[in-house]
Amino acid sequence: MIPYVIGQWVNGDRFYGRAALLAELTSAPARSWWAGLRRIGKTSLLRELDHRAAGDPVHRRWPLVWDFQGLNTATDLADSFGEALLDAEEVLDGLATAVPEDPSLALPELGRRARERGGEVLVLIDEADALLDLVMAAAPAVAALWNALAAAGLRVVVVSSPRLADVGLDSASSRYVPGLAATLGAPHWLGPLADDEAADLLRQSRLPAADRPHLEGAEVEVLRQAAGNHPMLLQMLGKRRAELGSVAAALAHVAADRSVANLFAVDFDLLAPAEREFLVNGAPTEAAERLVAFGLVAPKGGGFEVRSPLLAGWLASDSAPLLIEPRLARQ
Amino acid sequence: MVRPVAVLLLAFLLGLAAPAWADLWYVHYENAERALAAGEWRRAVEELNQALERKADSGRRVRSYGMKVVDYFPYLKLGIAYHHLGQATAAREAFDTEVRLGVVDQSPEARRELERYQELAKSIPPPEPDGPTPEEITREALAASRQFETQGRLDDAMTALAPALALDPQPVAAREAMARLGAAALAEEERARRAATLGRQLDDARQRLAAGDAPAAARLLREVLLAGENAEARRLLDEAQAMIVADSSAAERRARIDGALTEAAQLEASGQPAAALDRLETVFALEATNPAAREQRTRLTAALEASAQQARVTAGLTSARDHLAAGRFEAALSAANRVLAVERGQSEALVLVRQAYSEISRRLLAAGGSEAVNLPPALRFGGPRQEIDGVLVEVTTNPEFRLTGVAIDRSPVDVRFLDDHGRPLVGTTSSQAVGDYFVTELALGRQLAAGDTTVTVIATDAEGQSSRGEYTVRYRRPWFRSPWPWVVSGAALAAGGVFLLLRRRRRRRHQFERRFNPFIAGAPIFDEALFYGREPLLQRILQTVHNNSLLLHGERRIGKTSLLHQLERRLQRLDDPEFTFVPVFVDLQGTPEERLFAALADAIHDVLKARGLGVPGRPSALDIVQGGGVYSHHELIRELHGWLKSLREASPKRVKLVLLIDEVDELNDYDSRVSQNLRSLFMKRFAENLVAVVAGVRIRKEWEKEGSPWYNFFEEIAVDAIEPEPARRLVVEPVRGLFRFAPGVPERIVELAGGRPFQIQRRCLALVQRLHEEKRRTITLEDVETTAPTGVVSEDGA
Repeated sequence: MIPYVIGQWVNGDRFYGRAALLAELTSAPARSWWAGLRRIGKTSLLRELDHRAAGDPVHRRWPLVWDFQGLNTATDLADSFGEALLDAEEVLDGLATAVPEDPSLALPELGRRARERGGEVLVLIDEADALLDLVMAAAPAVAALWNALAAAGLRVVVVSSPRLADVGLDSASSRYVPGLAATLGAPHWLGPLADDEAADLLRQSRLPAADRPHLEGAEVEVLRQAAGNHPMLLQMLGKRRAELGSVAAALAHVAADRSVANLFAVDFDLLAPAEREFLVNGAPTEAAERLVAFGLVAPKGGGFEVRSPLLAGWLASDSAPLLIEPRLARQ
Repeated sequence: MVRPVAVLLLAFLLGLAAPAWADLWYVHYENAERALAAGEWRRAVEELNQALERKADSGRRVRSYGMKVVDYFPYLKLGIAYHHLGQATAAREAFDTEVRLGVVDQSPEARRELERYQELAKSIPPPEPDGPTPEEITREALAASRQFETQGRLDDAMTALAPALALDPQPVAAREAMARLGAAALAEEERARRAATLGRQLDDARQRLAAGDAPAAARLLREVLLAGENAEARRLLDEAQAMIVADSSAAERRARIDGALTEAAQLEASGQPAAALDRLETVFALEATNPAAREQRTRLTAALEASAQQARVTAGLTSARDHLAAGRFEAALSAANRVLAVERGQSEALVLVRQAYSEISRRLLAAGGSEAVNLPPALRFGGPRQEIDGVLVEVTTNPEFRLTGVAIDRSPVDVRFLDDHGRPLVGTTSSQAVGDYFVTELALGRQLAAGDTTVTVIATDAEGQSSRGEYTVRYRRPWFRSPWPWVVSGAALAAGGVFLLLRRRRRRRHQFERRFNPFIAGAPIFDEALFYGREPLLQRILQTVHNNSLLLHGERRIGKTSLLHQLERRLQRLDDPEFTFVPVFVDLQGTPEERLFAALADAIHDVLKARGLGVPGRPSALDIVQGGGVYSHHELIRELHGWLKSLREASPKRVKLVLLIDEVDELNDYDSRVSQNLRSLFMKRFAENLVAVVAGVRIRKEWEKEGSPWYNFFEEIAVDAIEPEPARRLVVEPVRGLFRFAPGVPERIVELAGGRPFQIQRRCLALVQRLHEEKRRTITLEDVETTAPTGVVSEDGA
């Protein structure tokens, strides 16, 4: 059995890394917002928080994962909240019995009940980019949501792509989300894994020794650097290495994989214009700050270098400029 | 008398043995350790380099002489020596190499020493460069190159650019400039060459005209005109053509055209393209638009151009090699880049470019005051070895042996393999740049004889520094690979075989009489005996499906549905130690969107019911929808919660409900919210117990869009034509013993079917039908060519 996971979220024994972040989130302010590029592990982060909260003997926290993807109307919002409650039925341990269907009423009620039991509800909101559409069709529902999330007894972690920050915080944009900054504060940027965490993922160090893929130290290093510690690329490279039996073959296969090129293209599209220009031309250097946080570039010798050779290869490829130029022209 | 002879003999033997003794890796390693203890750092470096040249793979408890074992960490020791010599960069590099080799982790003591020295190395600041910084070098190189380029001095421009790329091959501007300059220099060279030959070609053409060889003159003049318009060439060409045409009647012209075409074809076939072009000039003079001649001219011109291009590549490579050997690195770079402009990706030119960059880089770094110490390549073997009598040996009972490993160095390394007797072996290598290092993977396949086999690996870097490693494998031949048990059992089997053969012949005669035809065209293949060529794909899926959802994509009728059915069967009977798989096959073809979730729910419930986990009295969801009711994803989510809970309670293992969804292209026609709702199943907590394997034709492109809820959700697996060998078995095996195939027949059927299993089945179905009708038993090539395939034909005509 190949243990690597591509596409699906992971938690528990299959979740690697983010140790510092998870520790920080345990004691973070009551509401925090994390933005990262696609496939960087945002859903898995929430699912790991969900998993840890459910088994945490110290903090009494009842986790509730709420997926916003595809929400367009107030009805969608209420339906998705109902699904989230159903999904969390076992861990909520009766806390949500007979709460109202409207999340703006249900959330404060849940908070109140949790406080009565000496704890709090951990509301984990995924795919929050949907707020950009929701605010256009149901602005009052969004305003009510902010009020509800500010209720006592709730701890809120929201994840999104940087687009929510770039568009939703821009008051000049038609999709400006009022109340976003006031409720969640400024976003924190979610980047790749630390070096040792990436190595652990490749080695699958939580598995029993006999079930771990056989990887030499040098191979781990090659794969880790090629992925730039990006969790999805690490999983893909690890899986291909296991399937093809060679690091060189795995690298060649992943470099030619359309879904990887697609990932880079979509990530590129999510960046601000100056950041895209920096990746293509190396300037302006002030655009590098967030790219460093996202793990796309790293400081080197007074300048910066693209962390993943796979991304560098895509940026230098024949197809990349074709993808880049129309986007730059659109700005 | 005996005693002096013995003493002399001993002295002689010691004399012979001494040089060999002194040349062993562990002697150098011991010398190095003594040198380190005495603080003789330079001598330690020399000794360690000598040790590495003989043994480059680190090791814990490696046997040296007699029964003595030592911990062998040469890169750690080398780093310590360099540290004390004040060469911090070299020390860090050596420590990093030891870490990369990994073995040091097995020795806590060595690991601690390594970490201590790594900390010490960190505290030493890197040396201040005396000369310009890399950024300054790059900036100046680009500016100088641009200036030379504007002056038309392309070679100088390429030479000026070299330092920038030698320091860092990544900058886009420098790379693009080098590629552009290479192409421009090549074009300029070509233009100069044509200009130089123009006068000579015109003179030559005049002489040939004077001698009456008008076709040859015309071909030369046409070459001149190809380079650009030239009045004199045009006039002479008219003259040559007039000579060819002169005094010919219509019939004569026809005959001359035919004759010239025949001659040109013969000359082309005999490898004389220039002479063939001469003959074609006669045709063009007599009939300028002759299509056969034009087509042949295009072909011949391309062949001549390819030949000229090859000559340019060969000359360029020779020039680059010569420059490199003479230390003219910028000139070598320029020549190699021109080769790359002619033939993009030319492998030797790429190597030469890398070597030239490496040399220039070294020179620049040395000029900048940086340390330029070259460490020997490090070697690490991949196989499972164990210590037996103090020696590391891999023990195997499989005679097929494959040695794998990596060599790590600052440059790509050349790897040689030697057998026990020092004879060269053929292995494979591939290098990959990783940061500042190159990791060269090495592999060698060998057929083992019983006993020990040792393979020696010698890795040599770009500077000629070598290191060596030995890998010993011990083949213990199992009893069943010995010949004698086979002789005994073979005799017993022979008797049984004869009996079975007779019985099988009788059964086949009956099959023939019943007009037996095992091939199927139109329906999915449920019978495993008729399912060929997908085992690797099935294995890949079975290795993956524990944790991943998969998208199988491929053209219509390629076998996706059959693959899903086979997967269902395999999963049903898979005895996995950790997982219980519950496969559920759902075909979405013709399913309207309002029935999607009901169809999924009913399919899942049917499977659960068969396992005794159904919900008694549950109404069919499809019936609810047909009766005007609604069954949405909300209802499915609610039911799934309960069903998965039942499955978890019923199984001691982890449960995986595997949705095998066929014709998933239907989702393209649904409202996008339906896909979002379907995806939301996989975002739920119960998704730990849920995966999907979906199959479709057009779905892949739709799901690549960022807006798609399925963006990068599935791992994509292409379902293509099957390999020739299993395709041949699909033709032959179902009718083995019943029908015979004339030579080449199976291969021709596979070829005509394009390796597509459905098309193979259609053709075989028709062929077997025909042979039954004609009461024959041998399928001939003529049968294959004249029998139309039968079976259901899909909408796309497959």
